[in-house]
Amino acid sequence: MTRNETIYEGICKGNRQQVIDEVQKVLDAGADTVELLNGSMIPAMRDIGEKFSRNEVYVPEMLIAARAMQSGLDLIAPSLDQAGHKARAKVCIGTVKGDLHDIGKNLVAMMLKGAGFEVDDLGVDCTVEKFDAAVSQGASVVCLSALLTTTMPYMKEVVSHFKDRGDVRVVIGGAPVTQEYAKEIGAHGYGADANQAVHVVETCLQE
Amino acid sequence: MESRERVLAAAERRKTDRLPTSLRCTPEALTALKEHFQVSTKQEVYDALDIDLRWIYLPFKGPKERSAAPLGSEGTDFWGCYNTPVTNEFNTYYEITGHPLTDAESVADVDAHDWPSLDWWDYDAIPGIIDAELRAGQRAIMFFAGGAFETPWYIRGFERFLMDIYENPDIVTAICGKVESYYRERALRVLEAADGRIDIIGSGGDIGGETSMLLSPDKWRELIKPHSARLIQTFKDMGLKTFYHSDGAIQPVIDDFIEIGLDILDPIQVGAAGMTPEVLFPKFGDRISFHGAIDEVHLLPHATAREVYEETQRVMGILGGNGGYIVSPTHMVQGDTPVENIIAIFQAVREFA
Repeated sequence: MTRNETIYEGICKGNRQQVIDEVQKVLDAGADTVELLNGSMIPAMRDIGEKFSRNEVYVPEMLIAARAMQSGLDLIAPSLDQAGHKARAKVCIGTVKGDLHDIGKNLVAMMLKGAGFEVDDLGVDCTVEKFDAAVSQGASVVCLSALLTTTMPYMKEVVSHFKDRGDVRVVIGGAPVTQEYAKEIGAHGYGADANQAVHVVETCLQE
Repeated sequence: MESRERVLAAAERRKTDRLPTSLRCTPEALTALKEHFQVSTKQEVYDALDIDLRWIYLPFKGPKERSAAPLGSEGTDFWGCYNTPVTNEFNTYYEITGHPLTDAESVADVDAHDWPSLDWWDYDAIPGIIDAELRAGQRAIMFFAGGAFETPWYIRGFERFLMDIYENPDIVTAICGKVESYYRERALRVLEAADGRIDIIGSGGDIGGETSMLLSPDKWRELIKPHSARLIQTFKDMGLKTFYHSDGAIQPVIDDFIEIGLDILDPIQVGAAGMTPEVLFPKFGDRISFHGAIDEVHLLPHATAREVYEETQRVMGILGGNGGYIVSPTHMVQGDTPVENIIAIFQAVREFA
């Protein structure tokens, strides 16, 4: 699979116009959009995520990269549909009931989209019922976020709700959340940052 | 020894009879403390705990439609941001959900915003507010001026503001400049009203996350630091002590804060990357004092009072090595923290040998 360096670099540097221009150009030339997605676009977001985990880039750089990625995705979406391309899996994500802090949740949602997942962003202050409805709509992974120690306990309720569903994975994250807590409440995974969250979702889908 | 001397000595890294203390509480935690001590005011609670450093707040007297307290009540605040409440099992919290400059496309749009007036505050109330804190002794008084990073993104929207760092740096500079000069001038008016009875001017804004800074140290230095510096240096030059609050992993810029005249760094979020007392004290302890460091994320809500007592004394043994430490929880104490754990912190301070 060859990499389109202009698109790859445009996403990594968050240069939206560069991505739009080049994607349009290769679309006009009849490019294979599935190959473009898997060979150039997803690798760019994966690499920016790795740099984020290594403190080589920070939230602003992630945001502009994700927006450049989204601009490219919007352009190739019709062609991907036509080619019968399916997202890797559907993931729903939200901050738990009582918590409106969504900075981390939004970053994870962007990175999941950038990794090729279909993301159902449920927003903030989400109840068990809301996550349940998203699962009924086809989400196979439920991602929970909390900033407050006082809202964290609600994660346990969501995990318990899905514990008998062998086809649903629950991944948790947020400032006060730890690997130990994830284990204690029986979540399938814990992401320490937005990049790790993507890896955890990928891993738990293979289990 | 009086509280005020203890705090000022800590800001200068001098040892006194004991390390000074400070406390911030959510309304729910404060109510629990009032019930415990059978008292009716915040000052009585703080006097019962012998809290040395007192934060004072400036009452608003501006237009009703802009009177919501930022992150403290529902509605539009003085900046024009909309605050929405959400309640969990332990607390009601507010988040900013309406950002008035989210659609601004130019510096002219920023200028055209309905910026708040400095006359919207009741400066005449300041002497009485200070008197209330001093009823049981000479405490150290701090006024928290504000900050030039967090308020700007409240006004612009978080993601929009962080993308502006690359795409519209002029908008970043314009908003930060407006906010900084407002907070600086407001604090100068408060100081005038206080007539020499304020010891510390605080400023702040979270620039750190759990694992790293929210923005790169270089971008912070380029676009945010000059504004933060004015909010610190102005008061340092007047002979006051300075205090800066930022959650998270901010070790890469502590030297910068020292350079711009900071005396006291808060809150030392010990669970964030590179922020443990063991790491910070040897690196910076001879040049800056610390405030906070008693973990409100994991320790205070979940540990026993005995564990809190021991951890407080352990941290005091490190950060208090040269006297430059004001003992305090790392965050507003939440409704899930037992009263006995709050009391254990201050008992540990009194009994520290």
